[in-house]
Amino acid sequence: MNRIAFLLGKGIRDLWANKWEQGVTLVALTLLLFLGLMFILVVFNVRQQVLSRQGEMSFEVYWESSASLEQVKKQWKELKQEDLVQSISTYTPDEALGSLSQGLGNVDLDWLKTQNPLPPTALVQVRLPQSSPREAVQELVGHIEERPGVDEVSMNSEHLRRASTWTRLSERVYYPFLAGVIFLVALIMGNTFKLTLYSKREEVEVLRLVGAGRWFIQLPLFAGAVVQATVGGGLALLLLKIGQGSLNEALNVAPLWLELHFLPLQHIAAFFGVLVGVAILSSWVAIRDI
Amino acid sequence: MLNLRHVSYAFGTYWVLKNLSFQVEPGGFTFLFGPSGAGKTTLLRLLHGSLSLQRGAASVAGFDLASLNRRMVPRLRRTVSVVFQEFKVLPHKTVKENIALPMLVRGIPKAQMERRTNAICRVLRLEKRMHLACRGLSGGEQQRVAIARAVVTNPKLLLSDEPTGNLDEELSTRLLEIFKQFNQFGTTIFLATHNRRLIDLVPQAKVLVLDEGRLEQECG
Repeated sequence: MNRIAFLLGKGIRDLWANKWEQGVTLVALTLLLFLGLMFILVVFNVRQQVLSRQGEMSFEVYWESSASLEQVKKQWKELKQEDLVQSISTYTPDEALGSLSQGLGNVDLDWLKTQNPLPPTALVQVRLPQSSPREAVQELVGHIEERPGVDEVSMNSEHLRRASTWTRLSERVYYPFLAGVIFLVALIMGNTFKLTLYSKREEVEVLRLVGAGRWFIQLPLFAGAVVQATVGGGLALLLLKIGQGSLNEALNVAPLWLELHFLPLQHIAAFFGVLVGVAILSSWVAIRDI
Repeated sequence: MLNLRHVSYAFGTYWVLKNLSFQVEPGGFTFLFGPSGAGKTTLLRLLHGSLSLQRGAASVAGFDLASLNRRMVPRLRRTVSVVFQEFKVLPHKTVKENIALPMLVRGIPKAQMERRTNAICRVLRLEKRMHLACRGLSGGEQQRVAIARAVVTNPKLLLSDEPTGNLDEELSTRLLEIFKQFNQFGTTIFLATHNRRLIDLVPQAKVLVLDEGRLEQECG
């Protein structure tokens, strides 16, 4: 265990010992990761736009006229808590009548107030989930229909089909794109580590000459690669945050009003996890023949 | 210590070593003498595990080269040390760090490492240079660092390829004295050279004469 800690520490100390070569490698890695992250950020935002414009749908829920208004209002509150529900606009029979009157150009419909035929209504806006969007919406609709007092759920199935197609499409494009970027980054990182090794070939040769085993040579190189990838990733994220802030300021003005969101925390955590994995894998590929 | 039987080695279709057979006893001092291109370096690389045995049988310090796999090579190299003509010291590291390298690989405790490095530096008159980077040393000093690194772990066998190739006569003589000193302490010395003068300096040594890959003569 001590030996492993020593070798890992040696890898980190060696970074400092060859600070110029390692500095250049770090800059190259940072720029590479920044470019990769920038691509991901752009595609992530395009996807967000697609989902916010095409990945939502709404449907109406009508309650029976005889349903107790108190019970209906309680159900509206419950509906708001549902995962998929983005927003909900509700209308009591009186409010529905007022809205109808307004829609017809302020026609006087007061005479209907005593025998109002309009039921309590809710206009529900849902955001489609990425996995099985159609089934999820149908399940939600099923739950609503089962509630006491609910008369009908009116949904445009064509709209649902179109929205779920967009959601699925964005899913099918986004993840393969992510995988492609990661693959490219891994490839270039592997080559960068290989080039760094070139400057260490003399040391590696001498180490082999004095009887160093594979682990003695490779473990410090692994540690160095992981540290470099992590520091490079951190710097790249910092650059990305600065870039995103500047771009957002430039784009989020009239007439564009394009809002550029930063990557969510889960994405960043996944990015670091993948980065360390890729660093280990690509450095292993680069040094396996040592 | 060394036992070779019918060893041959080829690069492609060109046979560099042809049917070599000889023995070296533990504690002996042996010269491998021959002109450039005779196959001396190839033989040393074979004995140090840098090349794989192609034909024949060979054992080096108890290691059977025919069955030596990649994992065993570091073990062989921890038993058998080598000194090359071109020194192969790390220029950016200090004399002390270069000498300590084989002990670091073996996981020797720091205090012991320090003790041995100081002692070997005294023997080889390097104590004033200990904290200097090797890039600032003369050829003779770098050669002494390479020898110190090779002997600091008390190897059973020391292979040396033209160790005096870059040195003047006086330094060569002094270096040979150092080899003789370590031989007296029990290390088997196997030294490849094309310099006949060196052989005359160790009259009790065994001499193997190699020419065009063949063992032409064995005396002593």
